[in-house]
Amino acid sequence: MKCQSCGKKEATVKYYENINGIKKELHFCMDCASKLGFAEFSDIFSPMFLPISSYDLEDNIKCKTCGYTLEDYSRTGLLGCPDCYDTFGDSLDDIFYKIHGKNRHIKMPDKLKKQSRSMSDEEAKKYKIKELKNKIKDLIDEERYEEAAKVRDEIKKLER
Amino acid sequence: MWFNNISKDSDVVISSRIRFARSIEGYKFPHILNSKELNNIITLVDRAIDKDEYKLFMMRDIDEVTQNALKEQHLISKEFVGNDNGAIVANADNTIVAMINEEDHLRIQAFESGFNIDKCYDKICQFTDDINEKIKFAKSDKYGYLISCPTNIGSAMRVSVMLHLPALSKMKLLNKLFDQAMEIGISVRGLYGENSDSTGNIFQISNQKTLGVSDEDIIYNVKLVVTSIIEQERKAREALLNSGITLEDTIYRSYGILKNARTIDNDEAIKLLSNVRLGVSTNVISDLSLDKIQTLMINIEPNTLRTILKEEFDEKEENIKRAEYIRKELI
Ligand SMILES: [Zn+2]
Ligand SMILES: [Zn+2]
Repeated sequence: MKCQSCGKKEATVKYYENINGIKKELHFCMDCASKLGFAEFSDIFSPMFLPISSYDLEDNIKCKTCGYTLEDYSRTGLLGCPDCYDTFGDSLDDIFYKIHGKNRHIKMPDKLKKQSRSMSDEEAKKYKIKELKNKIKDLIDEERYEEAAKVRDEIKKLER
Repeated sequence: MWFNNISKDSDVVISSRIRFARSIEGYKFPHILNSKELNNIITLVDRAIDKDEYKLFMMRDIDEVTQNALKEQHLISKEFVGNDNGAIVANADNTIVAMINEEDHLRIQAFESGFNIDKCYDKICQFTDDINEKIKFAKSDKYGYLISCPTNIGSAMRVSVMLHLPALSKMKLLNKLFDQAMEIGISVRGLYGENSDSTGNIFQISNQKTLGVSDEDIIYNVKLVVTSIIEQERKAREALLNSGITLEDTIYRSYGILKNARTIDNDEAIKLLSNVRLGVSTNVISDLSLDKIQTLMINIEPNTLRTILKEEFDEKEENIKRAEYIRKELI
């Protein structure tokens, strides 16, 4: 995709804009992004700007541990402490879905993580199936049936 | 140093890196901590590391030129330079370098030369698991590792591979490749800015997504993209070399200038070294080794050059010193 500012260079930076509740995703090349002043994009860990609906911002919830609000977050791109993730979970879930296409971590117990580095293909497959079955449960709990069906197909493929 | 080893796929791949972000449970994130609390974080990490293998350096004890040199060597981020409440943990050969109190309490990085993601992963897990025995990381079942920037939660892992892509770039084939990479969640960045022509043709490929993807899948995806880019670059190099004398001419001219210039700025040097690197890795130039070029590309950066020559000089003098240094190294 070409940069939406200069129209010449490839867009490598995504910018989320939220004007009066209308969300827009903009794509820029790095040069334009920095010219337009969209913060620091040079570092691969730098925050992307995220859409927070004005509706959520009006709620004015404060994190009990650190005092952070969603407004602080939209200003800095950062949260204040680990408890913020509980406090703002509902708003974050939407945001995560937009960035990652998912909003749940894949659970992988530390022990298994260590093992998986030396796991055989067969073991890895078994583990993956177990993981996917857990995922289905989560998805059904959240009434995301279409996605659950997709995961079920994935399991079938692996079991073949 | 990671950059003066030559290994697998070094003709195209310069280095591999993995970065973990971790928060220490019970603390607010660094950007809202006061200096006393930030110091507590450093103390906690200091107690958790194995002193036989790792050393801790306070950022305020490192002079500005050295800090900038570390940035040029990609060992610390540019945001971390000048952070007086920060500290660095590193092993002797800098294959593990952790920043304390950058955006997160811990930003742990593992570096290897060439295409060596697996080795990075083993090393970074080992280091992280070891300190995890003494420090508890903030983590939830729902979101994985809880860190200050929500765009990186989940695995909180970034896998990056630095590639030298002069032929694809000369043939103007990069944009198409990068578009495809972006479609599967892999981002590409030019190392010296976006405009690839003038700037060394070095690119960094890394995973964009961190949530809901396992470490294995992230690594697999990056490997997949990098492997295919390596192949394309090799094909492009062959095509260019077989299509006439132009590329060979460019390579030798660049080599000639580097060997003879009396003053040279960083941009020009990087551009010419990029051509020479291409020459060495395609065996057009045979009296020079890849590790020498790789080291030169880092050592001629303004601050690194000053730390190597152990001298202070202004910008005009810098270009003369740089030319001298390159001539001496290329004899
Ligand atoms: Zn642009
Ligand atoms: Zn909080």
